[in-house]
Order: sequence, then structure tokens, then C-alpha cells
Amino acid sequence: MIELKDLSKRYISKNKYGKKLRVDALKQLSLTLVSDTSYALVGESGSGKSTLARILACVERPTSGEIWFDGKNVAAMRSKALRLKRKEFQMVLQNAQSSLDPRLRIYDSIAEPIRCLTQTSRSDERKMILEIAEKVQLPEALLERFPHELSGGQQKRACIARAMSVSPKFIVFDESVTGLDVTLRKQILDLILQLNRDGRLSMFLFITHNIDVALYMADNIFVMKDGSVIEQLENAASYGDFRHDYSRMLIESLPPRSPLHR
Amino acid sequence: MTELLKVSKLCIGLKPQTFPIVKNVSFALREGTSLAVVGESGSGKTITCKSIMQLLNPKTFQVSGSIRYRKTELLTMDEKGIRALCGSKIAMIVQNPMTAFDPTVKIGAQIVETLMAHQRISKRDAYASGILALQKMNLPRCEQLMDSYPYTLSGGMLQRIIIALSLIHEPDIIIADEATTSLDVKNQNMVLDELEKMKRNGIALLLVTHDFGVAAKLADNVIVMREGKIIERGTVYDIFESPREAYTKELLKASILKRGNCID
Amino acid sequence: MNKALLKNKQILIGLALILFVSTIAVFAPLIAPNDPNKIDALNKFLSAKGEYPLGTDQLGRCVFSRLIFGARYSLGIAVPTLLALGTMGLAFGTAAAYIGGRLERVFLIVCDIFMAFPPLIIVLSLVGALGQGLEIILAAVIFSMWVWYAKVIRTYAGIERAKDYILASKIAGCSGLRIVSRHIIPNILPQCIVIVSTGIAALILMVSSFSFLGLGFEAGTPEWGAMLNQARSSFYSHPRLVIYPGLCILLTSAGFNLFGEALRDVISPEEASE
Repeated sequence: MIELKDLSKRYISKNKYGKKLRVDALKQLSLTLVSDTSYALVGESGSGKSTLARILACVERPTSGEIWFDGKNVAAMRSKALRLKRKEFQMVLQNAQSSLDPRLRIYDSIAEPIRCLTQTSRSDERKMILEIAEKVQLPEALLERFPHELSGGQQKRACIARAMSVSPKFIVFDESVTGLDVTLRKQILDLILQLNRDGRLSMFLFITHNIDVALYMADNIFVMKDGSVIEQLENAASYGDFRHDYSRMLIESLPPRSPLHR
Repeated sequence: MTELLKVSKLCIGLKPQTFPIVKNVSFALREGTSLAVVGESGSGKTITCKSIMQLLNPKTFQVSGSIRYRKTELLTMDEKGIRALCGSKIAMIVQNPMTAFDPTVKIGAQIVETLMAHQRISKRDAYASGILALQKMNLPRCEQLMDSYPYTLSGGMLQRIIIALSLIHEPDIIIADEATTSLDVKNQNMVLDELEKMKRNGIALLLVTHDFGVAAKLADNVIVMREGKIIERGTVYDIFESPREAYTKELLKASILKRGNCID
Repeated sequence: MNKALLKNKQILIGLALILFVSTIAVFAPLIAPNDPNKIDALNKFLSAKGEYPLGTDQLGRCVFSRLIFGARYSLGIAVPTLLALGTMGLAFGTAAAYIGGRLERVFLIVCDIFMAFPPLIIVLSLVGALGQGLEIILAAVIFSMWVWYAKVIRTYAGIERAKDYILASKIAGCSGLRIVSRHIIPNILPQCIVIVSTGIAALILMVSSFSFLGLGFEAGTPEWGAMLNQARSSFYSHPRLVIYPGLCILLTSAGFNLFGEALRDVISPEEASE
């Protein structure tokens, strides 16, 4: 179980006159995520959802607040301990091509978390990677290629494989299908759901701006606006379950499913 | 309704072996109507609209066929004529509004610069017509907008500014190449609403998209492209209600996410 | 990639020039027909013939032999200096860019202070304080120039650091050192090689101008830049004495420039294909 208590994040930037500008990306956000459950988080750009994702992936610290996991406050950990925590929290970024090092072969990119976070022999590592590549349907021959030699879908699969290579307890997908073709989007979403059913990816948080995608991915949905969660649904099944005005507005903004509903 | 754009038997090949990317594509666009070109990435839809705008480098691309704007053939036109036409009478909106602006220069200064490059007007007139264009677009607090930096605005706002700018020259045709793909649903909706207004004012829209939602909201006619060929065409109702090709059905099915049908 | 290297004509030409000059530098005593420092007062300003393939200079020394030995001085100073500059620049630049924040600002201020003084002034004052000698000149050059490299490299590293894959490798659990050494450095190395290899020409000229001012080399050392300067006085009567060393500098720097720029195209195919 992951418990977020009063999480705040404030960014301070300076304008050209040297005047400080404060941006509160997260405001006193509290959430409870139960193990072995899948979650989706909906919000428009600028709602603080990416900040939350980065804090959950232990690459950024909250300005204040606590993150309780396994009886420990992750937010108060020392840097090195926090880095090793990434064995349990992983994250898949939005843009697959830019999140793979152009100079590393796909195999080495996928192996990176294993090499950095665990002590595994090279032969065991190879076994693990081949297994995970098969799980995400990435042909073995592609592992020796460079990122720019792969299609968008294959790059995305490689990113998912990298996040899963250390068998983390929890994965955050930050806008992981935004901008993809509809067919590819469905393939990737189905792959995640399939991995979830197989028990390889038992707990995840899928961040998106599209309520359709959120409903497709999870029963438990959070709606986020201006750094706070404004609606929290369990067992959401359709648009009708959303009550908050802001959620209704997001639903009304969706393009129609058919020209008849214009 | 006059026919504004007629593309016939357009073939585009990649030099030197003239590897075909677009094969025998024909369509027509009439005043006040909209045509959606739907397809996956790599289907040749973006190349097609770049060839309409004459943005393809003749050193790498071999273009044949015909692209007519009203009665003028664009493919054989000289560069001066193209520059006078494209960007003013035929406007194009690209996918990522963030990269269309220089992040270090204020919006207003960039608008003035663009306007002064296209026509002989003074700085003050350019500024005034810039504000007027933003006001026409119903953008809030236009003067403040002119004075802000691109990174302080949302992608949707920037995209609407780009549309406003492209309208200054009173175009007949707007080509929107995945114009809403990088936006979130709320911003996408705003931009689509603006485009719909343009259409009602008689501007023809050519929408290039992989999202059937955009087509469902705005298009009158749809063509489905795959591997450089048009595989199906029809009115938007035909395509959505009774698609003929298996590929179209597949795309439609994938675009609507419904739980339970995720495993076939 | 090796195949691509060999296919590229520009690289081959550049590499051929570099190898040509390096071979000459290594085997100078075997190639040179005469002692480069032997003064023959009777045969001043001889034109090319038999014993002196390119004639003699104002002191009757064999121009051809001097040019050949000049390759030794020019390369022998420029290459190690640049390697040192490149390594220092890479270490400080990437560290500053990766750590960021206050440390990076301090680094930039230090850079600006150093850059406010022209290298020549720093070198002159250091030589004044520490005394003459080749090693001191080299140390002074490195001391005065390293910020220029470090600052450029910091910019490249900063661009690279902002990219998604650095965040992704952070998420993958890489330590800071690993991110710098495995991700940032390999990705900016092509640009660094370009800076370093194009900097050689400037460095050869810089060392030469020091030798003209009487710093570093003993008078009469067959160094291209020094030869160029000495021959200036007889430019109108014997222009060849200026042209030959100038040509040598041109060819050497062209070799490094061609090589460096073509190498960048080959090493980063994704940039070249755009």
C-alpha cells in the first residue's frame, strides 16, 4: 500500500526582472493506493499530474508531505536509499523515442535498471531480459538494434520492458499513449492490461488526459485539477459515474464517437 | 459551391529510386466543406499535405500528377507564385504549437515580424492587425497575450493564436495536420470549435488526423489512407456507419475504447 | 560504423592529411635531407635545386628540412595540449551541467572571470612569474584556455541533460556518475571531438605567435608559425618563404577540420539524416 499525505510541490522560477514566481504544482494532495490494484488519473495539462508521477517514481522530492510505503516514509529518505527505492517504483515516460538513449542498444537500455539496482550475473540478466522481451512481444532480433531503427510501437514496448525488468511493485505510466495512432494506442493499452492479468504488473497508475483511456484502464479513477484530487471513483464503469462539474466538462470536451452525436 | 482544391493522380516518390510513398491519390475540396484524411503514421497523409503546400524538397521527392487551386496548377508554378499563395490563401497548421514559436520572444513581437515579412505595413499597423486577429478569434485579454512569452501559454492557446494568425490573410483553405494531437481534450475541443466556425464562414478544411473523433466532429467527407493509397472514401456518415473495408473497421474499432473487447 | 567511416570521402581525405603530417613528424630525421638548423651564410635565399628541394631561407637553412621538423613541433605541442584541454573541459563541463543549481552558477562566474582576460595576457603574466620554458608555456595555455572548452561542453551537456532519456535513466536507477559517464559523455563526444579537432588549427597559430614573441621556443626553432613570422620581412622579395609554412598550417588544420566535421556526421546518424 502507498499512502500519500499532504503532498505539496512548489517550483520557484524567476522572471526576467529577477522577481520570484511560485508555482504550486501539488497542493496538499492525499491519496491512498492499495496493492494489487490498478488506478487511472485524469487531468488536463498543467494539473500537476506529471509532477506527481515524478515524485512517485522517486526522481523528485515533494516540498512537503509524506509518502508511506512498507512502513517507511519514502519522502524523508537519503538520496542513495531513494535511488534504490526505484527497484520498487518505476515509471514509463510519455515519449518513447526520446526516453531511450540514442547511443545504447535496446538490450542495454532494458538491462539498465537490472545493472544499476540489483546484483545480477550477466547470464541471469540475459535470461531475465529475454523473458521480459517476450512478455512485451518484442522480437529478440530487435534487442541488438538502436532506438532509431525501431518503430514507435517497438520503442514503447522497449520502455515498458525496461520499467518491468526489475519486477517493480508499482509502475506509473505518464501519458504513455498520448499522440500514438489509435491502433497502436489500443495495442499498448491491451499489452498493459494483459501484463496486469498475468500478474506481472499487479499495481499501476495510468496517467492520462483522456477519460476514455482512464475508464478503459482501471476501475479506480482520480480526477486531478490544479494540484489537487477533486474526484475519486471506485468501480467507475461509465461517464455517468462522474459527478464533479470539472469531470463533466472533461467528458463533454471529448470528440464525438460518431458524426451522429455531433 | 466552387471547387477550391483538386488533387488528381498525385504520386510522390522518394529519390533516387523513386520509392513510392503516395500512390495515385485524388480528391477535391469545395468551399465551406471539410475533408478528413485518416490513416496511421506512415500512411502518407502528411506528405500529401506537404506536397499541396509545396513544402517537399524537389531534391529528395519526385512529385507527379496535378494539384489545382481554383484554376491554377500548383505543381508547375514558380517559387514566387507559390510564396504568394501558400501561407496566405492556403494556410497550414502544424502538430506542435510549442515549436512554432521562438520561446525567447514575446508573442506580439513574433506576430508583428510575421506580418511585416508578408506585406508592406508599418510596425504599428502590424501590431494593430495582430490584435484585431486575436480579437476576432475571441481570445481573452488580447493585449496581455501579445505581451506574454510562448512558454507561459497552454498548447491550446498557442494553437488558437496560430489559427488566428493564419486567418489574417483570409485563406480559402486551412490544412490542419494533426493540429490537435499534442493537445489535451479540453484544448482540443476549443481548437476544433474554432475550426468549425471557420468552416461555417466558408473556409474549406483539410483535416489530416489519425483520430476518428476529430473526423466525427468536423468532417463532411472522409478518405482513409493506408501505405500511400486511398483505400476507402465516402461521407462521414458512410464511413462511420457502414464502412466497407476491413482496415477501416479495424481503425474504427481501435479508436473506440470499450472495456471487455480488449482481448479478441 | 567502421564501414561508414571508410565510405565517407571527407573523412578519408582528412584522415589522410592527418596521417601524412603525423608520419612526417615521426620520421622527420629520416626524411629531411639536411640539418634544419645548419646555417649556411653563403647560400642565402637560394631557389629550389638539388641539395635544397625548396631552397634556403634568410640564414641559408634548408626550408624543406625545416618544414619537416616543424611538423614535430606543431603537432607535438598542439595535440597533447588539446587532449588535456578536452579532458578538463569534459570533466568540469559535464559535472557542472549535471549537478546544476548553485554550483553551476559559481562555475559560470569563474568561467566569465577567466574569459574576461585574453589568453595571451594570462600566458604573459604566468611566464613572467614562473620563468621561460616550453612546459610553462603549455601549462599557461591550458590554464588560460580550459574555461573556453569547459563552457562550451557545459552547454552541450546541459542540452543533453534536459532530454527525456536522462530522466529515464535516472528512473532506471543510474547514479549521477553513471549518467554522466555512460549517457551524457557518449552523447556529446562527437561534438567534443569536433571542437577539439577544429581547435588544433587555432592552437598551432597560438603557439606560433608565442614563439614569435620569444616565449617558449629558443630563437631559430623550425616551427611553422615562427618561420612565418621570420619570413615576413622578406615577404616581397621572397614570398615563397611565407607561402610554404602557411601552406603547411593550412593543410594540417584542414585535415583536422575535415576529419572532425565528417566524423560528427557519421557518429550521429540521426542528426545527419535530418
